[in-house]
Amino acid sequence: MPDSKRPTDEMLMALVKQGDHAAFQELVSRYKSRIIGFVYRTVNSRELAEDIAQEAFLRVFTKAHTFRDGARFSPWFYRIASNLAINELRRRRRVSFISLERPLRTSSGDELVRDVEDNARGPAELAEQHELGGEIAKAIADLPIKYRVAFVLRDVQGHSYERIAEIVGVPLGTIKSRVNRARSRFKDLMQPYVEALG
Amino acid sequence: MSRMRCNAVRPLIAETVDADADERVVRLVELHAEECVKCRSELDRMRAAIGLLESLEPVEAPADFEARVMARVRTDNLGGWTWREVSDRVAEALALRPLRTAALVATCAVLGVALLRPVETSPFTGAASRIAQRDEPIPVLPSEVIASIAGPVEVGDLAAVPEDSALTAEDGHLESAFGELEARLAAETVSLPLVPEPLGGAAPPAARIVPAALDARDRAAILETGRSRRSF
Repeated sequence: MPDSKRPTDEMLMALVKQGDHAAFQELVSRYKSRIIGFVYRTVNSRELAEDIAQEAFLRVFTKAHTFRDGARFSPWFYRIASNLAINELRRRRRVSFISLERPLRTSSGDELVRDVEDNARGPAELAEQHELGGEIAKAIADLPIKYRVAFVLRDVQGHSYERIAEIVGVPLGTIKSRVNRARSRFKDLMQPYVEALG
Repeated sequence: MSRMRCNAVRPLIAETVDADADERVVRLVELHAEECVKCRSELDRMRAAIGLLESLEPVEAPADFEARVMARVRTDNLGGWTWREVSDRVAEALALRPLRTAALVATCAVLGVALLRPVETSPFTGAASRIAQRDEPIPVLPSEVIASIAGPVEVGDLAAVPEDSALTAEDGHLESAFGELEARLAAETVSLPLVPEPLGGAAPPAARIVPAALDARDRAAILETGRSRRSF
């Protein structure tokens, strides 16, 4: 049963607009795990997910004045986090075009040692990698970005289609289509494990 | 065998695993799958794959996450004020309203023009500098005029001075005005208030060159009192 005395997210946002730190902290407390979970399943890196989630919360505070009266907080906030995650993934994809196969050499011909951080395989991920969870996470990460966001929001986090459409900013039918396509891809990616389990 | 074809059922299989799946769609697919091995297999694999998602561990935020965010907010936002807050407070302090805003803008414009204006703004300064640049002698008043400053003078009929010959201070006319004045002074014994009048009024009354633009009352007032009814 909902606590009638508990302020809604939108009430808290009205206070955040006035620069109220306590209201903002309450929102952080309410959403921190949900948003880290969403971003983590989207970018498949715990460390990166925490950084993006932190940035998303900071945007809530600094861009609070852009939050329209009467709007709902949750879709607005998820949209911020989703955009940050997608932008980061696109940025990384561009960076990854630099070949890691060809050795780097100095002008004198000495080979340089690459020190490339593998963000998709942090300590937490490496531990999980040997388990089924790691394989599921990898399969999700292999989905196209726009399918992935819809899939995570629907089948991992359980948001309604209407809310997802609001978050992503596309029509409801498009979201349903993306989720169904993502399910089919995911099913194919997980086939070896399903057969092994079955 | 179900009357629905496989290619019509396959796209619906993904919908059947939805938490809010339409019951009619689920029954339709199941009816078909009872008689179609391939679609049955697809349906089972889909349910098994999506079912795996339940094995994902819920993600918990690190214990210090909230503190980290709050620390960033405090350090990144002007000691606790957002830019919005700062702008709101500035606007509140100024109590900006349309008229006041217009007045503020006008004041800023006037100040801006005054500050950006060239240093050489006086027509006299301009004329003097041009004379200096051309290396021409500066016009000197006749000795009788200078002598007349020290004592009583006879004032000519100033009203008779043609309007188009009135002394003008406009930039570029000073030199010709000086020449014209010289000639007129020689003819009419008119003296000019070349030195400021002492505050006590002890200095002898000096004739005034009446600007042509003045009306009759102005002229009368100046001739009677030596002062203009209005300030120029």
